Amino acid sequence: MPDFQCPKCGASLQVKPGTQMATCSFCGTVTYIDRRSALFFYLLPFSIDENAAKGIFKRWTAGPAQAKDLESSANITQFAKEFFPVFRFRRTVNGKETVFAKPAKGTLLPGMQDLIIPPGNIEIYDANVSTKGADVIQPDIAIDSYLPELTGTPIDQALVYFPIYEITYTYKGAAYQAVIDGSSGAVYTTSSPTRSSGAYIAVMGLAFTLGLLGGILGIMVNPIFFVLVIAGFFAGKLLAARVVERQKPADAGVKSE
Amino acid sequence: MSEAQKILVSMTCPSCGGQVQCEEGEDLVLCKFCESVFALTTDEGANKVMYKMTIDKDKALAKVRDWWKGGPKAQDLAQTAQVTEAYPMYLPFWRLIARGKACVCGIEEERRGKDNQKVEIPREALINRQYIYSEIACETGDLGIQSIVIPERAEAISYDDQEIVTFGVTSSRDSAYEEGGRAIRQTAVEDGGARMDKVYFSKSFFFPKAFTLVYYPFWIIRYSYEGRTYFATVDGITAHVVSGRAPGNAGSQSTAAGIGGALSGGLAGLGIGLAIVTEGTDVGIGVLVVGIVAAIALLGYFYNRFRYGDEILIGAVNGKGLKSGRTQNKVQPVYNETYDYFK
Repeated sequence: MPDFQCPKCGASLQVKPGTQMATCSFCGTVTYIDRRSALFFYLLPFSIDENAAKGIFKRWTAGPAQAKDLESSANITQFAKEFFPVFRFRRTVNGKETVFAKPAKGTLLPGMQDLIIPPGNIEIYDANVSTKGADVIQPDIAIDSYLPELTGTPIDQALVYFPIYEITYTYKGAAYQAVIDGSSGAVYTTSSPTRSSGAYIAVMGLAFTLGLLGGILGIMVNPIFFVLVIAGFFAGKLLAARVVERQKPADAGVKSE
Repeated sequence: MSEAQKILVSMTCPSCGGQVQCEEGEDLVLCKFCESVFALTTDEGANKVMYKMTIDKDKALAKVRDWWKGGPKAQDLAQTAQVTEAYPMYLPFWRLIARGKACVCGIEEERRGKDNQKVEIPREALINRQYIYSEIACETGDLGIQSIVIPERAEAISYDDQEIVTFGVTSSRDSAYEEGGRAIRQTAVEDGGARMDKVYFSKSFFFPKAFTLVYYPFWIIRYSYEGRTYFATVDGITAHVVSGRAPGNAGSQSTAAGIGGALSGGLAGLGIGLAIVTEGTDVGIGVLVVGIVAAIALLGYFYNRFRYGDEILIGAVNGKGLKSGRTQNKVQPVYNETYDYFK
């Protein structure tokens, strides 16, 4: 990130991200920043620390879409804290401001193909910035390779580094990947061990069948059969409890049956 | 002159050459030397408004603790959950205030008389309302906040760089404006056709009044439960919990399965039984239809609570889980400035 100087008095000029005008704090001169041909470097800081990121991953493994024993069986084999680079182009296309995001690095990481720039507090990336121990992934795609194919006229362009946690975990012998956005906590995955709805449908189907029989027989034969509806409730509740029961993680110190 | 200096253009008055003062977002400038007025054609220039945070940390935490107690959340959540982080922040929103007008023509169907004959009544509606559209100006990520309603008592302060974290704008201003206009027109048409069963014609317009970049305060609270990290966001002015995730309650899940299955089965059985006993009379068939419809609705409702009840979601957060509460609509009507006409 280059340092700016006030064109009138030569004092150093603070240029904030996302602004078009800067006022010199010494002489008060207002300067217009022509961002059309320059490349600005920005960084979104981490607002989620390592422990919180691991907690978010654990919460995600316990979610209803994931395999039931994923929380207790998933084994994190790799955990990396990184800044991932993306080019952000703002251009005027047919008189309309349009934002494009393009990868600055080829990757197969989950979520990084969508190329969204996650929500965050945009800071200037320069020598003073603290990366808090995270690796800064250097871009391997030059901005020049995108410029010819973009439509419209430029307003500005920036290289934005955004914070991610890259997690590799194993489950039943297979390795999977997940990415956690270090700014908002969103979890991205491409494939993951999922939970089937079969057991859930079976339990409710059983309770339904008992209720149905109870209803029909209770009306047509003898009201005593309404007991089947109540039996359906208890059967459903008991079996459902087994379906939703969680395996406590081994390190939680709780005996498992 | 270094490369970096080439992109700086000093602002001078085109008539007298004197230095001018202007600020981000302004589109008219008055030269203080020669008093000439000129328009700026910079690419950017949405007006910025920031609202003052009025909720303190303790209040926000108290609200989250109350929220832990409600709904089918883990029973010991309020006792065992630990708040790990609580910090304030500002999120950016595009806000379009516009008058939406729509002309909607259609019919309303009504059943009349003994034989329940269907009658079509022609209806016409002219909608003339003020609407406010708001949309978050960055990706939502896992914040679960898409839109805001600014309360009456909110105090606007001038935008400045404060200690509080302020999320940057990453979406396109023009796209937001276009989408806002489209959403307002669509809402005007929907409001016009609310009572109609069929709409045959509609035309809509919008007249923009103000387009602003709004910075609105929130508290972000992260908490841990059984080693998992969950979160909640609290509106910095109204103190409502607007989005979040919480662990579900296994007991509620299994009860839902039992009640939902047995009750819907019982209702369906009752309907079938009665239909057979009454030998297919109108009353019997009526009971059957009502019973089946109620059974399907109950089954769906309770299945959802059973299958996805492991995690409770509020707001516009992604992923599976049991949604509770409602997500803020992007378009709000301003009721005291309504000049509608219905026929």
